[in-house]
Amino acid sequence: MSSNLGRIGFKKMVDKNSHKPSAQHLEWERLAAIDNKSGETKNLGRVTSENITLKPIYFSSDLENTKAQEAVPGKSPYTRGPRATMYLGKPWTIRQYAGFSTAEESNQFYKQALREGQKGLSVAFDLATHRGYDSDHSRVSGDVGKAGVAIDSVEDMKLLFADIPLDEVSVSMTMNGAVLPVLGAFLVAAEESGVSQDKVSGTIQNDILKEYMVRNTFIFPPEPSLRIVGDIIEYASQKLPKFNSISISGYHMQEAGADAALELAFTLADGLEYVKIALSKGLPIDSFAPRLSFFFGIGMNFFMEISKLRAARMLWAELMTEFNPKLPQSSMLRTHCQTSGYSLTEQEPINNVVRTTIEAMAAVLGGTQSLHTNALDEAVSLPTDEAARVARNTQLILQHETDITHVVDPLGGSYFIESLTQELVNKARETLKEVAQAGGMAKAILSGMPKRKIEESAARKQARIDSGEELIIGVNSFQQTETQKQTPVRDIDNTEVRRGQIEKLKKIKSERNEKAVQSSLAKLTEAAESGKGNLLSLTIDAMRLRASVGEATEALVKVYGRYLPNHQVVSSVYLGSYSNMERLDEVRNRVEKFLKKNGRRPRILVAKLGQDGHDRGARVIGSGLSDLGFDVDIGPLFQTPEEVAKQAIENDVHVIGISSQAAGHKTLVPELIDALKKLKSEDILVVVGGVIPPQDYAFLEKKGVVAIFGPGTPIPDAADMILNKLEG
Amino acid sequence: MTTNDIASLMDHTRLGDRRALAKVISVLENINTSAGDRDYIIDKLFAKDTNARFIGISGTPGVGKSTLIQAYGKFLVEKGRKVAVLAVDPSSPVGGGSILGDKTRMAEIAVHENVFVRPSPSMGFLGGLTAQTYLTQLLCAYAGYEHILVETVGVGQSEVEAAEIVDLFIVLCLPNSGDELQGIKKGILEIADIVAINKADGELLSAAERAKMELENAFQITRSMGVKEKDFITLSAAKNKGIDKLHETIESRYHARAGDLKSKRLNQKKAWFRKELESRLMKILRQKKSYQKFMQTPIADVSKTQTIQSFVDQYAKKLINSDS
Repeated sequence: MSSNLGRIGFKKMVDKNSHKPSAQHLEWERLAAIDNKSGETKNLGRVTSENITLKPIYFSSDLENTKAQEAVPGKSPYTRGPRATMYLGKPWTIRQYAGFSTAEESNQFYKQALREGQKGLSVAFDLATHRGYDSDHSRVSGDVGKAGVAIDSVEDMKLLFADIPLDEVSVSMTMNGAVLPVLGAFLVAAEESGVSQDKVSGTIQNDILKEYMVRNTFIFPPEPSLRIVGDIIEYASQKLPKFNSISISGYHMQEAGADAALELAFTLADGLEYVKIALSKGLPIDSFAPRLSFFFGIGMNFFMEISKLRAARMLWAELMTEFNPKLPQSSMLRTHCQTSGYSLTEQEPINNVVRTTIEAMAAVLGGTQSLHTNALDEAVSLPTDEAARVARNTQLILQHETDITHVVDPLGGSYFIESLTQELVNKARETLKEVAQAGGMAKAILSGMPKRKIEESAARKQARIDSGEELIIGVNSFQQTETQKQTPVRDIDNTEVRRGQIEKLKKIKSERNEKAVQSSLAKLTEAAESGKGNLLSLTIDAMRLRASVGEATEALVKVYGRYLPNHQVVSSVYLGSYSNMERLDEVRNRVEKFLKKNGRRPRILVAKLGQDGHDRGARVIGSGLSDLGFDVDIGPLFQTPEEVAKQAIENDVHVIGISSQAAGHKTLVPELIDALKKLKSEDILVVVGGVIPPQDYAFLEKKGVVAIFGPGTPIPDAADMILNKLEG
Repeated sequence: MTTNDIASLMDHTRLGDRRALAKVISVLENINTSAGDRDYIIDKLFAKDTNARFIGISGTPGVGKSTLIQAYGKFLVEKGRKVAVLAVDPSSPVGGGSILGDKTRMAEIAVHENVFVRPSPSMGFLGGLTAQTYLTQLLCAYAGYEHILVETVGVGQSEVEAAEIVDLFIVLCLPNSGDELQGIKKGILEIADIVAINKADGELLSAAERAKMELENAFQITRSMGVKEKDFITLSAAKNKGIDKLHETIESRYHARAGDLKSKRLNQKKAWFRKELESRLMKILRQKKSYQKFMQTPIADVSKTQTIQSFVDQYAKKLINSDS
């Protein structure tokens, strides 16, 4: 970058600012120009992915555009923190998200964590449970016990929390799709362990709107799903005084590739929609608003993430004034945070400890109420005991060995942080306005606008990384030269877990009062049909009688049906942001040669198997490959191996690309290859990408997979590898 | 591919083998397929008349074409019928690639045993898209599919071509009134056999009924001008309403005018023939050295010529008459 450009950069900054540059600022410019004579100064006026232009330096004059001078922690709009004392009295809650295999195994893991200094629990359920299928359902053979714990009934829930005092330990549950039977089973399990509903504390995610944007673990169409959200908020406002009835989540948007401004705006817009639903049920604002909680992702953009949390609090307080709350807690944004899984790398996993530490610091300096820190091996699998311990210790070290907790909002007043906070607020306001014009978030989601914006942001990010514009150490720069040591991973014997679950289901079903169960389920169906009654209350009754998660879900599916999304995949965005044109042309020329020789473009079916709804990877890859000249078929979500084989054969693709993010690959991919063989189509190649531990590569290759793409494979490289295989 | 392979693939196709059918479609899509192979397939397809229904479904993007195909397809398979769906997705003019997402938009029927869904990219076919679609629908009929639903790209001249190769052309509209309808009326509405107003449920029910009336009235005015007979219906593809009515309307068309079908099929064949001829002529032309040379030379003196028309004419004659 030339010094000339630098100078222009400075000038622009000054011009853009409505204030006259201070004497300090002018002095700095003079000195900086001397420093920059040789032209080595980079990043002058860098533009972030949020499209915010960063100045090279901030001065006190920059505070004039902000409300920093009046801000007091514990006072609306809570920019500096929801509480006056913040971490002085009590630091944030260390809440590690975990769950795998059976309830018994997860229970052991939780108890160990609590002994080692963890304060709250956070349960990860397997995908079968998320999607409301019992473990014995034929569609979930590859999913049971894999990316979380398998829960089929109250009995499993009791095992999950055995010997854990539910009146003391707060429990957060990531559940959105099968939220009714899972929350129901939890409350019954607590009751039966002697803790009444008004004593349990914790959080249920219950944030269905974002599922339609990014995560896809919904069951029903949006409309009935929102009724369920409303019923839960209603029930909680009356019977669960210590329980957060919703955790409005931006985390998954960030993981799907949303920049900070989009995450911020869409999360708050979701929140507004939930407030409106609760109000429409006749609930007074102060009866439920204090129990709304938030959940943000924290990535590597340190200052941006700190500012995001501050901006979120400021905006939420502002948005809530519309509803005239009397209680200050009603407009106070309290949040959980999780460090970014997206930022973790498969290469040199030890580096992930460093990344997670930086992200954890950002969350804490932003003023989070609780935090999950990712384990170093989470780019490829569920954490081992060892990795989980390091992750937890990261937070303990921050709490006990640093002075971060000694001062309230230590970054308050920083010229840069305060300016960035304000910039983010301004950016988010624009998007919030757009959502309001679309008629609120529920309507906006149906139009596909938020999903499209997030995917465009994701494709741009991927292109910047693939073209080396954004550096990731050990992945696209400073790669390790000697061969990598394999990190041990936690492996789940999914067939064994499933067998055990099926046995337990049989046992419950044989011991319960069948007539009473069926009549409770019929009542649930009736309430879905009539629109009357509280679905959570009725589900609790059914679960108490030992209905299963699948049965309680099916009772509603009868009326609501199962929802399948059908959004368009964005195109040309990847291409537009990939700055290495030579590399692109190289691959495209190869594709053209392939076309000339074979008479058809390389055609690939990008598919998802099982209940894993994380489709960012699949969609970004699909979009990128089409930009490179491939014909790309996109398969529907939640497919069985046989269904994927049928589509691949009908479309006569050359290759199937399976994107796996939830550990089902060891069961489902071999089943797919068998299905292809059965249909005499073994000429269709199978490649796999996503979260695959290196330990599984040999297994998959033996089963017939021709190429495996780990996290961080640039799309042009993947295209090259596919063409290599196709050309033999 | 040797003719033997083609023969075997066609045999399997006729027996309803899904993989063989898919492979033959690819042979037709393949730009390197020999004229002999292509002719072999075409001869087989033309050898016998078929009773399959060729239904075109058109409408602007977002109007609900895929949703309607899913709803109607489901209706048909529940009656025990075999359904094929042919859809087209745009190829990128830049990279040439495409995103074929149709199965995600009709996921429910795409997995059904008696349903065959084949999305195709819009560019790169020998005889052009319409000729390709025509042959593919015959091929699906040859494989035993009884209802072939052809989803079109939804705009402009290609729709007129698409209408020429199907038995019935359904145009799907939204229950908007006023200007938007005017636009549709002038264009593809004229070529429609059935005009279906979608999203006729909930808040939009009365708007849909009103739109139907307006369209019917407009049609009465143009009727004397020789525009073809049309049926107007309202339905809701997403809510599964009015699908039975759509089916009735389609079937009554087939029953009432059974005699028409023969001439229709002949016209389809003629339309295809014209397209195929055009593309083969272009192929011959493209193979001429003089053509290749001409296309590579920059046309510097266009602006200097007196009339562009005569300039083009002059070159066209020169290229056609040259021997190599």
